[in-house]
Amino acid sequence: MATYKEINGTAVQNVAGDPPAPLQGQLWYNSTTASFRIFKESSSGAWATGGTMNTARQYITGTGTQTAALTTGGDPAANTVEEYNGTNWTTVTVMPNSCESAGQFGTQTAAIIAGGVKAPPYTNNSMSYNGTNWTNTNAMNTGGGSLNGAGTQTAGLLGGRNSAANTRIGNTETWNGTNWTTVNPFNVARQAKGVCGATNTAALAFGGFNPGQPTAEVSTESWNGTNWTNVTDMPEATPGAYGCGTQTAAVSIGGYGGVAGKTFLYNGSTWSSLATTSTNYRRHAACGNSTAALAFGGIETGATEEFNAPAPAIQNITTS
Amino acid sequence: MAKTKQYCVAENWGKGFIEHSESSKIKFAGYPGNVWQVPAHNKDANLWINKVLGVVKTLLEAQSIVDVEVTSFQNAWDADTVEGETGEQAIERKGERPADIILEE
Repeated sequence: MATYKEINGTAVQNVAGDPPAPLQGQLWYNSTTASFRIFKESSSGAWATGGTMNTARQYITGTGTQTAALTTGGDPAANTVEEYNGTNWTTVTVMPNSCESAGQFGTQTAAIIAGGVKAPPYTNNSMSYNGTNWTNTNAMNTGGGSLNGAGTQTAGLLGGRNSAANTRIGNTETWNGTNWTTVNPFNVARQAKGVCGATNTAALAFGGFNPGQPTAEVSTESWNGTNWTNVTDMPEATPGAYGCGTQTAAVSIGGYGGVAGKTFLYNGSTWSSLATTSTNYRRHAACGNSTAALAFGGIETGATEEFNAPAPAIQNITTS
Repeated sequence: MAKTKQYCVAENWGKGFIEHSESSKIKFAGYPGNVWQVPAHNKDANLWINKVLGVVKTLLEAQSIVDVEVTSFQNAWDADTVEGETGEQAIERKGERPADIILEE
């Protein structure tokens, strides 16, 4: 049988007590208590209900944090904008352009919303929000829908479906604060709301589906600023899942069929299951991160749920 | 076979309706018509139903409420038509037709 060192390239550290500042996932031997210990979360977290959206709608966007979120557009009321403060949603200044299933990135007070579906066809409109007012910006190169993004108002990325009929190539464009640039597309053709990341040089795309294919996607791709690279597959196909978080701490929330209500976490190398939502989120949106996420809206609902992961703690490892 | 799930009707008022401390103990599933599914024969589930003033329903009663809502969604979907639109185009525009929901015992 392989040893721990053979598998991980390092032996288990022997510590008289516990290390003063262990890293998440760190394993050691506590010689005082004669036990193996690990520093990790003790459960898969929990969801709680949050304030209900003022206008229940689907095909919306989501960006920001659990206590400062922004959602735009959707069906119905495609120019509606709402902000969440951790307790309630407030309807704020409408967008200059209506859209459904647009892409977004940034924060509640510094966001970019672009693309989407307008009645159809797909649009390439791009708009900037400063927390109070909207401004039209230079348009995307290619109109598209089912987009999701990563990054900030001055350095973002959107990936997803493009407007060309029956190609759905996973178009990707980056934003530098002024202009959009078409970059390398996803390796796997898909329309996906499962895109997330903190910057436009470190993003993750996962799940989704291509209407031309018989099965939904399980694949995951990592973006380094130039190329998408296939990494570990998801535990199951997640058509319609919404992504939030970062490239190395990404969360997949909800979706159609068997993954309705399911939540998964990607830690930079593997996927694991998190607690399930009580709402079967489909055509919804989400934002936040892997320790404090927010899911809201979707088919016939304005329900909001807040996810919180427990803080990592030192735990004994038992072998029985 | 003893039932493993129970149902109630309660309006989700938002924050505080389901709390983290509750969802970490029991599994919740929400359905159209404000129908909520929680474990049967479970103290924490019963306490939650009491907290939200939930009206307990039998499986058949809950199923009936959900069916009415789903039928309403389906009728709205069917009525939303565009002349000359193919079935595929319709799905493209408005998504899949809402599916029936079968509640479990």
